[in-house]
This record gives sequence, structure tokens and C-alpha cells, in this order.
Amino acid sequence: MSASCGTAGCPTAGCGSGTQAPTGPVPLALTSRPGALPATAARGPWFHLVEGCPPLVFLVERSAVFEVEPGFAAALHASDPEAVAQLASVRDVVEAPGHPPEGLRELGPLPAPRAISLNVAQSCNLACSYCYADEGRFGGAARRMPLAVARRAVDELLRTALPGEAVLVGFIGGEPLLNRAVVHDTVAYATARAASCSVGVGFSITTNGTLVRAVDVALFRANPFTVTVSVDGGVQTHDRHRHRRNGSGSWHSVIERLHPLLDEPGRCLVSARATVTRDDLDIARRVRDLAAAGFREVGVSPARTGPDPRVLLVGEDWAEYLRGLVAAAEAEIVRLRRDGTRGGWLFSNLGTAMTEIHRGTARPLPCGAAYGYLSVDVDGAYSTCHRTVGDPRFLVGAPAAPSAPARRRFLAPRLVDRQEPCRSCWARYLCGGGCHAEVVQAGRDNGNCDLIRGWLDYCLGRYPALRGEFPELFNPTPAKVATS
Amino acid sequence: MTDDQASEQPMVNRIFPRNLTAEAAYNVLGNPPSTRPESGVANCFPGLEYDHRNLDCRFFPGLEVVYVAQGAALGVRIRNVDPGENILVRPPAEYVSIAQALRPQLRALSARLSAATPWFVSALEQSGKRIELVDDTGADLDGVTAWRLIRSLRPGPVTLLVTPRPAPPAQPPGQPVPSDQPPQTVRLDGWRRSYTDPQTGVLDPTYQPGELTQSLCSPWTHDFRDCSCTYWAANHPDIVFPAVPRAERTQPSGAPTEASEQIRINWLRDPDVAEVHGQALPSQPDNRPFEASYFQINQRWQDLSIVLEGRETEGSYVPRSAARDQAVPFSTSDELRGRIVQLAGLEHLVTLLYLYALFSVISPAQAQERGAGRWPTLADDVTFARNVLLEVATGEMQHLRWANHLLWGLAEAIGHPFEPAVVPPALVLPAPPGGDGRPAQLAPLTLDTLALFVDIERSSAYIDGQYARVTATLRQPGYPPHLYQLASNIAEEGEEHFLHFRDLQRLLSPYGEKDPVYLRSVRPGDPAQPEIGAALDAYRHILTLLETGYQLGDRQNQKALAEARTAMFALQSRAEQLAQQGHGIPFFAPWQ
Ligand code: SF4
Ligand code: SF4
Repeated sequence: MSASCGTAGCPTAGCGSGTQAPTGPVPLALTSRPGALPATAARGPWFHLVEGCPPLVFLVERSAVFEVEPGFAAALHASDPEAVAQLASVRDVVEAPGHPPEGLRELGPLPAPRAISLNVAQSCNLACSYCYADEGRFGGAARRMPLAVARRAVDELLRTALPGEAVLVGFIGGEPLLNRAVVHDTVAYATARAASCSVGVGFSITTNGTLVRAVDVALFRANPFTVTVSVDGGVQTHDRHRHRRNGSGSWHSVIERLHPLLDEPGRCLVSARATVTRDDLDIARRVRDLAAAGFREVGVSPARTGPDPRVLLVGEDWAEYLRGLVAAAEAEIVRLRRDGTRGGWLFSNLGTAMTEIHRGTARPLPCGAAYGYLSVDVDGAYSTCHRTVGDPRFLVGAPAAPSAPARRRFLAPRLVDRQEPCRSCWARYLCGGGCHAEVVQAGRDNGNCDLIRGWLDYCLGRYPALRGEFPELFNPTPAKVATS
Repeated sequence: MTDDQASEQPMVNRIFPRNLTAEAAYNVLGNPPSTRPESGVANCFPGLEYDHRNLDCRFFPGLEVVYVAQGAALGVRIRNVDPGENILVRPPAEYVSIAQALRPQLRALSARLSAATPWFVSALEQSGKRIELVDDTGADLDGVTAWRLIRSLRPGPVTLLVTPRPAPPAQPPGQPVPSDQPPQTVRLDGWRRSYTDPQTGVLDPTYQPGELTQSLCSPWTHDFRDCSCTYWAANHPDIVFPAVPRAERTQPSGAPTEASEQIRINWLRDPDVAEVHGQALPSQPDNRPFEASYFQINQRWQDLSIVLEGRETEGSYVPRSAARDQAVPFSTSDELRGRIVQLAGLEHLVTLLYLYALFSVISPAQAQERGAGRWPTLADDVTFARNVLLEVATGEMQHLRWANHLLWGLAEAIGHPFEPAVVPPALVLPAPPGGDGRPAQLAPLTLDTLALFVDIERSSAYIDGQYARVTATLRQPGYPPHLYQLASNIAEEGEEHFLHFRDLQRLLSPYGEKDPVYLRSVRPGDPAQPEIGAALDAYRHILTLLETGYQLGDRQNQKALAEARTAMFALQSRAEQLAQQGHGIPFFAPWQ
């Protein structure tokens, strides 16, 4: 399971700047397969060359990766018509009729949401400098979600689930553990309710870790939880921005409180989510420090929007950030060679990208927001995702009434093929067009897109050799995962 | 290939699928892997991969029929009519007008179908010929016979007559169909479906997954275990080696050297009995009580292990050739040739060692006597020991031949004259990793000798290790690919030999180190003695015949090989006789 939005090109999707999308298969699976594709006039580039040894060709529409001979790559690079025609014949096989491409250009029927996150506490005990949650209040007053609201949201989620399906309930904030009673109650309630209708249920929580108590540890261990801890790196890195209201750092208390869980995670998966600010782009070190602190999965995302403009990445920073990501990826590969693959990917940005490239994921949207995934605010109203709770631009349902038409209104114009400059970007079906929350807030900037493309380019180039070297990371046996 | 030829080849840009979507695209044009001959039970039960009748159930577009061979109403019954079938909506070019006319006929038939009155195909017409589906007496043909007639239809236009059979006695069975069709008979003009796409060989998509095999047993459930003709049981592993945790592997082949991982276990073992399973018992009924139950198979068939090269796999698979293929290739073909000649000498040497040891073991008849009372299994054990030694020795002789085959192939490839390498045998055993070479000695089969044999056949040591650089060299472009295959085969057989000797070690160790009861006292004979001299002459004669024989391709030479074989049998009896008198053949004498 990954700690990002699940988008291969999601080094920027800011799911880590304080709160976190519930992870897991549900919100991310864009499975609609509408029948006929509309006749589209101009289509964007249909292939992309990845230079390297050996060179690769990436067929955009099905995210299919081919290795080619250098001479052929050179001919394609020079747009030699014969070579392009030859590749087109390969594309025609890849996109053969009878194997319709995913619903790339039309929004198919929307699935009922299979994942929700509950914003149980609109407040936080920390005051991080880049937190979009504005100390968890999202601009409003500090409030907590009443028990009845949480239960109603769970009922609504289960109402449309069929026996044998699985749903996901996430807890976000602010700091969700400020409303501990509701978290504990909802877990018990959802577990019982789901069992009574033969539906599987998983949980996730995004926490700053400073309030975790023994009862919480027991809860996480005993249930299928993904615990995502917002922790930025080693003590100095972390305490620079994640501090209490009195300015004192929080790292020591996070690690101290999480230690029992890191040592003995039980059924849960604990991962670290680091927010990278422009004052420190050494990603490899952050990953290393967090691994040393006991995390077995670490993901990073850059600060792109937030209240303090001094820490946000701009302009030249993106190139530096890409270098940082690549260095961290290389360090990860060295680590896998040295320590073996039993624990899976440590650096989840790399793991996610590799998995998506391996599967050939092609998506028309960046993430599951408003699609299979919704967030619920303290009053029970529905938003597109955890990052947009409380923002009227992203409202997709009144309390207890998620609205399919509102979700469709939100999503339809955001299909990546309808976006500029995405329509002409080769990475469009891996990236999906970038985080809605950020795009609405800050638009798409070139530097950020170059980062996405650069990262994907790097990962594509690395993929064939890594698949050959560590096949078990690409076809994990479930038993291994469970015991690791 | 010469440079000239190479430059004449059209420029082909090769492209290799690397991720799943790319790979899928290249798999989808074709039938699922389960339809390929190599995934069938093939050699055991050819033709049973699917039920052919299922194919012919849709021989006519828009119709689905059943061949009824038992019961009251026999024949080809209409099961379903589908005027909207894809092939009728989008027919092949040559059948467009036929399809247009056929659809209303089918619709009319469809409207008349009812559960009460079954409809049957009563006659077929193709190329002006008409076959009524009745026998001489006018009785309806049974489904199997009718099916044979339908199978004989050629692809192309076909006309069917279909007739309702109201419940008896309206039309008593046994009456010939009147030639002026009764009015209720429906005529259908269509064509014999072409079952596969003429271009790609892909099965007609009308067939649903599972349809062609639906009348067979269900291999993944009970039949998998209990099929009484062992049909399904034939294509799953039975007795296998257990998986070895990767870290523990010590042989280059990925196999362990520890004896506990060399026991053979039952693949279909009861998963709930224990983590560690005992050795499989010798017969299927013996193993039955320890096998997975129906319930367990149904629930957990997906946990059954994948078996590769006889061993269950866990996690990722290391090909046997992994270590070999990483060896450093020789830089010239002369060096390669030199090494193969050396290896041929070694194969020759170990053949002699094993043969000498073979004749040092008493005969089963003697064992009966000697063992009576004290060693009840002695006779069985010596039989096994002699079989193993003979089998492995024969294997080594085969290798000697293959080594010569390699030399011959190499000579062909580089355009050099071929010289067979039969003599002399090597007289020194090469150094195992980290040790020194040592002079070889003919010795009776004591436990020490056996330990040496085990070491010789252990794949990383002695001989097989020696093949590593040969295979690595032959793998390079420029050498004919079949030579690589041949060299790999030799290397891989060593593992079999190793296991045989390991088994033998376990079997013989209870007899002790000193004067074990299964041995004769045998010493190398004196070449000056006439009968020993004669045996050595026979041995030399065999070698000459082999040398002639290895000059491949000539009738004369094949004859020489056959002669050599006969001479070997003669030598075998002679050696047996000598051994009974306490003499071993001093095979090394001619070379010392
Ligand atoms: S242009 Fe659009 S699709 Fe391409 S990287 Fe930027 S946001 Fe993603
Ligand atoms: S829109 Fe929400 S769920 Fe999607 S990438 Fe952005 S923060 Fe994550």
C-alpha cells in the first residue's frame, strides 16, 4: 500500500501537507470503461522516447513500455516517417479493438464512493508553518465531529456497498486524535456494520503522532489500519517547521509515542509522510533518517500551497527537488541490493511509480477525489477530498447526501484530455493532470510539470532493469507481505 | 552467417514489450496459453485438451445444438437459436447474402421453439449431397453418430433441415423421413462455421471461456486428486523436492546441499498436517491418507506450489543456469576446444571409476546368501547400488559422446577438421573449489569412494563446474545455439547423478566403513595375466570402435557404434566373472 495519492507522478500532489488521503485500492481505481470513444480531433503525442541504454518507447494511451534498438530510437527521434509508421503498427496492436482503452476521454458512470475520510477534528495541537489546514480549522472555528455525524457517514458509505466488496474509512483533521472517542467508536461501529452486510472494511488515519496513546496503539494493531504519520525527517529537519504553538519541536514526542507501534505494528501499516520545503531539498537524508527512526515506508511531497510562502517550492526549486528525488531513488536501489526485498519498497514515491508503470496504469484523472473517494466535514457535508474540506468550491453534497450530479459536474471538465497544457503532454495518463486542490489554488506551472515529467522519465528508464533485478517487488506474494 | 548475407537482410526494428500492458498486447492476439499443445497433457492423452463435441455444438451460425446419444429422443437437438449472433450481423464477406437470408429463417424458427416440443436436425446438405440423419431402418441416428457426420462437413455453405419432434406417438421413431418434407420442417441455409480465424488461428469469439472444456472433469477440484484414469493427475506434479529458502542455497543451480532438502515430498500433501512433511511414500494409495482433502483442495488450490525443475519454488525463481551463465567465456575457440577435449577425458575417467566400483559390489544372488538372517535388505540394496552405478556410468559414457558431438559441431562452425577425443582418459581428478587436483584411483565402493563420487557429481565442484565456461562461451553469438543446449544438458544431468549417489550413501552407510558386507574383495588384476590382458584388449577395442563411430554421419560409423555397444555387453559379463574371482580390470594400465 502506498502513502501517496497513488498517482505515479504524484511527487507534487500535496496529500502530505498535513493530512492524507486514505490509501488503498478504493479511491484510486478508475475502472470505468465507457463504450464508444468520441471522435476527437487533435490528440496529443502518442508516444514518448526514453533515452538510455537500452532506449525505451512509452506508448501514451495504454502506458505500454517497450524496449527498442538504439537505431530505431534514433530514427524515431528524428521523426523518420518509416520508423514512426512501424511504431504506429505496434500501437495499433496495443490498442487493438476488443481491448478498449480505459475510459480516458469520457467520464463513465460514477461508482458509488468506496472510501471516505472523516474530518473528525477541525483543530490541531501543532502549528506547522505550511499547513493548509490552517491549524486544522480550515479558516473556520475549531470544531469536532459529533458521533452521530460519523456514524451516519459510515451508514451512507455501506448503503451502496455490495456483499464481498471492501470500503475504506479514513480519519483526518486537524489532528484526528483530538477527537479520540469518535475515532474509536467509529472503528467499532463500522466493523460491526460492515460485517453484518458482508462488506470488508479498512481504516486509515493521518496523524502528527504527538497524541498517540496506548489505547490508540492497541486500536491500530488490532484493525487493518494504515497509519500515516506526518513527520518530515530527522529531528532538526522536522522541528524546523512542525512545532507547537509555543514554538517547541515535536519530533521527540512523535517518535517516543510511536515506538511501540513501529516495533510491533500488528495488523497495521505505519508509514511516514514528509513534507519537503524549499529550505531543505535533501530527500535521501530525510528518508534515511525516518528509516532509522523505525519507519518501513516513507513518502515525500513538496510544499506547494500553504500560508507561508517562504517555504513553498518555486521556479528553480523544482529542478533541485527532482535531483533530490532521483538521489533518494538511487539510495533506495542501493538499499534493496544490500538489505534484500523482504520489507518491500521503503521509499514509497519510487514504489508507487514503479508499480504503476509496471501495471501500465492509464488514468484520465489524477486521483480518486470525487470519484471513488469523498471527505466528510464536521457537519457531515461532502467534499471532493481531505484537502478541500470546508472549501465551497469543492462541495459535492449536503450533510448525509453526497450528490452524484455534483461530483460529475466537478469531474467532467477536469478530465485530463480537457485540460491545458495537459492535452499535449506525454505524461498525461500517468499524471492525470495534477492534484485538483493545487491546480485550483495555484494553477499548473511549468516547473512543477517538468518535475513530474522528469521523475516519470527517470522511473521509466529505471523500470526494466529493476523489474529484472527485483521481480518479487513487482509480483509480491501476499504471504510475504503479511509476515514482513 | 557471412557478412554478405547479413547485409542482404531487410532492416527489422525489433521491439520488446517490457511492462504488463505491453506484454498483454502481444499475448492477446491468439488463444489462451492453456490451448497450446505444450500446456496440454499432450504426450499422455493427446486430444483430450478439450471436448471436440463442444466445438461442433456451434457448427452452424446462429444455432447451438446438443448431441443426444442416450435416452428416448436421440439425435442433434436444437438448444438455442440466436438470429442476432455477431457473425450473422457482421458476416465474413463471402457469406453476406447468405447471412441476410438466414436471419429471418432463424427468427421464424426461434418463434416456434418451445419447451414442450424439441426440434432436431433431420438432414444436412452440402455441395449437392444430402444426408438424412436416420439409419437403414429409418431410426434416428444417435447423437454420436450424427456428430461424426457433422464433423465431416467442410467449411462452406450448408443447408439444414430441422424438424420438431412432438411427444410420441405423433411421429413414431423409426419411420423414414418422407422425401416431401412435412410442412413443419424448417429449412436453414447457412454455412459451416470456421472455428478459428484463418489468419491468426484465434478461436471464434462465440465460444465463451470454459465452453470447450465444460464437459471434461474439473481438474482443480476433486478430479485433480481422484481422476481414476490418472488423466488429470498426469499433468500435475506428484513427488517433488521442497522449496529452499533463497539464502540457504549453496549450489549454483539453486539447489541446497543439505540432505533434509533433498528428500522427496508429496506435492498434494495435506496443508494442515505440519509445516515440515515427511518423505513421500512409494505408492499413491500409501500417500492418500496424508493428501489434501476435497475440501482443502477446493479452498486452497491456489496455495499449491509452483514446481520448477522438480522443486517447489518460493518467491523468485533462480534458473539452474544462473551461475553457469555468469562464468567467464573463453576468448578463443581454440581454448574452448582444448577445454572440451579435457572434459571428454574426464568423462572417460569417471566412467572407469564408476565401472570399477560397480564390479566390486556382490551380485544380488550372493547377497541373498550372505544377508540371510542378519541383513534382510542386503539383496535389495546391492541391486539398487549396482543399478545406480551402471546408470550413472552409462550417463557419463553418453556425456563422452556428447562432448565429441560438441567438438564436431564446433569444428563445423569454425571450419576445422574434426578429431574425436576418446583417449586418453584423464588420470588426475581436477581440484574442487579450494583444493588440489589428485591422481585418480580405481577403488571398490567403500563409503570413502562413494563420498568422492558424491563430490564429483556435486554441481559446483569437479566436472559440472568445469562446463561453466564452456556454456558461457557457447552462449555467445557466433556459436550454433544447439551446442549451448547440448553443453547445458550435460551440466544439468550432474545434479541427477548427485542425487542418486546421495541416496546410495544413505542406503549403504549402515553397513559400515570397514569390510562392508556388500563388497567383494577385488584388486586390480595384473595385465600380464592372460585373462586380464584379454579384458584390456576388449576395452581398447571398444575405444577404437568409438573413435571410428564418432566420425559422424557415415553408415560405417554408425555400424562401429553398434559394434562398440555389443562389445561393451561382452566386456560387462567378462568383468563380472573376473570380479567373482577377485580381479578388477586395471583400466588405467594402457595409459600408465
Ligand atoms: S501538463 Fe498536465 S499531465 Fe502533464 S505533467 Fe503537467 S499536470 Fe501532469
Ligand atoms: S485532489 Fe485531493 S486526493 Fe487528489 S491529489 Fe489532490 S489532495 Fe490528493
